[in-house]
Amino acid sequence: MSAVKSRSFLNRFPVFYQKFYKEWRWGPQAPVHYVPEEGKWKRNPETGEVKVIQNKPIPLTYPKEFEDGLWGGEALVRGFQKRNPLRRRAAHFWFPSLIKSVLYSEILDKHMEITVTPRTLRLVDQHYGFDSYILETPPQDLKSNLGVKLKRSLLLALAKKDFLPNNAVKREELLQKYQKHIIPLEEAEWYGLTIQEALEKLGESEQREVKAPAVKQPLKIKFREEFIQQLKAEQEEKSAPPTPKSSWNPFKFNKSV
Amino acid sequence: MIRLGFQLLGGAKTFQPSLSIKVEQIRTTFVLKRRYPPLLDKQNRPPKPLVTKNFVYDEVENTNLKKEPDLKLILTSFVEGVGLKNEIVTVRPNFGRFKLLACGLAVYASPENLEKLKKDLENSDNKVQTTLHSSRFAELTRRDLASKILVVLVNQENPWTIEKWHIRAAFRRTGIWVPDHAIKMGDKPISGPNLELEKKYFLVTVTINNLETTPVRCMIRHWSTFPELRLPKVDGYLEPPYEPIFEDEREIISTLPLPVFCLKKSVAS
Repeated sequence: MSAVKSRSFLNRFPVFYQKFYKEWRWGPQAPVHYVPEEGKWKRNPETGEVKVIQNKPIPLTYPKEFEDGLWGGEALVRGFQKRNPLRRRAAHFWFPSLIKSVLYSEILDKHMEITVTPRTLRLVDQHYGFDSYILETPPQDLKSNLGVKLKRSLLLALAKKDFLPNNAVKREELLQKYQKHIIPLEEAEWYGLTIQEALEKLGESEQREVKAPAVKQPLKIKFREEFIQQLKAEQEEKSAPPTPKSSWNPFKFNKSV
Repeated sequence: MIRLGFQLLGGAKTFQPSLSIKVEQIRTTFVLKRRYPPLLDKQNRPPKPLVTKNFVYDEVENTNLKKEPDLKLILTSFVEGVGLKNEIVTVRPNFGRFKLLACGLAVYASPENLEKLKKDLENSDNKVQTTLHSSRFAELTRRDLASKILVVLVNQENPWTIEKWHIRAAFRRTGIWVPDHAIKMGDKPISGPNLELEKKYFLVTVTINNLETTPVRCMIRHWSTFPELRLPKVDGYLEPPYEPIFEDEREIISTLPLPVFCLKKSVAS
């Protein structure tokens, strides 16, 4: 097993999809379950020794319930507690608190019941709205399938401009409000796809590009045509007035030719 | 085995979606700190994997135990007990989210919305709102007064005619301060002492903030300074049916909402 796994399987995809996928799976996440140390180095006050600061994030676990909710950067933390210095460490799971809550999207004009955490609700308030929260948060912080798909549907709606069909005034207002998040339709169609979906889409587009297979004619037809052309050319030559031959005429005394 | 699992976990690649959680425990948002921080990585060398010891955490903070900051919202319509239209209010977060924002009664006080509000206020008149509601509590006060029964004590011996100060004093006994200019008496005077008027009802109009008005039911009760002459106590004297002094007031008296203690009793029975 190599230290860095190859990501060359992404090379077939368009550049913007590669960027999205890399951000989503491996992008740096905002710290939720730990407090990162500020700065690049620190000095020991007693010894004066200077050490660099390396913030190693706490590894998180994402259960399958995670994919259907918006947990706001939280996840399951598996670790140990050592409550007494004389006793052995004991395994402990730190769970996030989950609430079934209703969130409203202005662009899609929908109320959605989603499993969230109190942190998600706080983040929605900080961003002054659910749509703003989804559009402004990078995919590595949304992380769940639901979060990324919601972002995809919002971006597609903004790119196609087909949301709120009955309220043109409100639609214009929202387009103005979320102007900085509008991306071209081509990019929006690729955003938020899983690898499987992306491969299917790639297959479709690659098939369209493949030219129609050339009808394979037997070569004899080609040769026959060439020969016919050749014969025609020879006949024309013959019917044309005889070019002046040399003075030596082998048929001089044979008029039948 | 947990030990092996944590060795595999080291390196921070953690999308292992194999756990299914069915728990009924206390769950909160934890902020943790490593008891034994990992060693520093050297430059230009692959990073060192985490060891099981690095997974011993101490709880630094439990964010669900802290009070959540209040929400600052702009009301888009009058909400009684909270505020008038276009007012900037600070409310508890859950109340704001589910009773105001979700119901479309308010929007976030974001910088864009605040600017938009400023422009709207400059352009439009604010008179419409002030003619409908004087303050956020006026409607609640009006309803509270409408369901009250005011016991007006009158003298059993000396002659009297009901005046504004009788009503004012009666309100003061129940803990409500109503100035004379806010009280409007009926057309017909009521005078006594007249024991036929005992425990009978008449109406009085109270005005709140020179805007909201409500009729209030007043009950006459005679009171004597001589304890031996005082009328005997009667149980349930504030319960319906309410007999009016003037017949034309009967309809209004019966349609006003029942006092709170009557409703509770009916629920209990």
